[in-house]
Amino acid sequence: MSEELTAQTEELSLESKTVFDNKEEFTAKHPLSNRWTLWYTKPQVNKNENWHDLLKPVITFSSVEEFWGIYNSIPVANQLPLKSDYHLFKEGIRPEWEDEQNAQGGKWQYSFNNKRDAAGVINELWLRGLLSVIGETIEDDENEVNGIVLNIRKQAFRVGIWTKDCDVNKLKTVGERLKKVLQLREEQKVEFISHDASNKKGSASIVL
Amino acid sequence: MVKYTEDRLLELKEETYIPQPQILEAFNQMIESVKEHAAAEAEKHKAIKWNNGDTYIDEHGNERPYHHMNRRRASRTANKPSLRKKSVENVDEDGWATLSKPKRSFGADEGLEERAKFRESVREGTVGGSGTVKAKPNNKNLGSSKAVDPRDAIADKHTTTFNAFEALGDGDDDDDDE
Repeated sequence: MSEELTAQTEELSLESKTVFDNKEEFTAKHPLSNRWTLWYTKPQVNKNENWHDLLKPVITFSSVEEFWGIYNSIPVANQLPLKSDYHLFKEGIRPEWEDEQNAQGGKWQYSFNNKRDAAGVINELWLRGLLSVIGETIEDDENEVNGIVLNIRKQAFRVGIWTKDCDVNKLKTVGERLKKVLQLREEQKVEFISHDASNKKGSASIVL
Repeated sequence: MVKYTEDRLLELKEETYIPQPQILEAFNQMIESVKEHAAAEAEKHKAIKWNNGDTYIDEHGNERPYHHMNRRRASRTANKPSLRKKSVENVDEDGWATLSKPKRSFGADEGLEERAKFRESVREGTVGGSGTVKAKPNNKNLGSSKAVDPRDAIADKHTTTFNAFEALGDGDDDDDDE
């Protein structure tokens, strides 16, 4: 079964053309500032699959109309299997620490540890996160945000905003906005961890 | 840079265009297969954990495993309640929170008055006459069955008891001698 899955996911490619390559078919009324790629991490179904095999680009878009078309055609957050991730990143940036655009950066994140309570709101909160990223309202003009990630885990739903670097002054706005987007209360803290420090436990450098 | 607020983007929700629907279809199929695989794995795991394959046919003709007859006591499997007392948070006028551990029951303030009264009475000699408290230990609650009072510890003394086998043996010998 896993071989079939691998074959299917191999068909999903970044190379395919978008609607902007054929303007006769579609003219975007509401273009976005950036082109965005949706990525998916497939849970491992076969021990031979490594991280690189599991992380797949799904589709790239650059208009509001395309965003809604895609969003309405894919499973919502709470319908994804365990150990899945959605990643929405600017085109050309792989959602990996090793990518040179991410290497010097980190992530703001919040874990919804009470899955039972969060299951009812995670779809709406993830959508709000996506809208703040593609609408570019998650930051002012810092151009710090590379993408947004959703992790579906046994114990928690986790939402993270990946940034280009770790400049505290620029990052604060992003952290505060993420808190608003996720509708967190004052005592619910978002934390920033640089990718460098991610391997060390308890290494959150900023907490808001 | 073009910016769209959340409200503006939600207003445009109806204006959709699905680029490359075949890719999204393949993506949905892949997720469905992953879900099926996960469900099958969960089922397999369940079977491994709870069923040794030994089954019987019930009165309705259904095949059922025996595991319900081998239930373990709840005390073996259920979560035990945490008896540990949690710290109490005291917030002062300035808003500083101090965590204080609750006192153990035998050290708590509850019996303070009675304890003081008892101690005073001991000091004055009202309890136990000559100022000392005579307390006899209760042997049955002690771990060892040895007597506490050394006078009670009696040395093994020789006892003569009637032994029927010995008596019979003696009789036989006597007979032989005769």
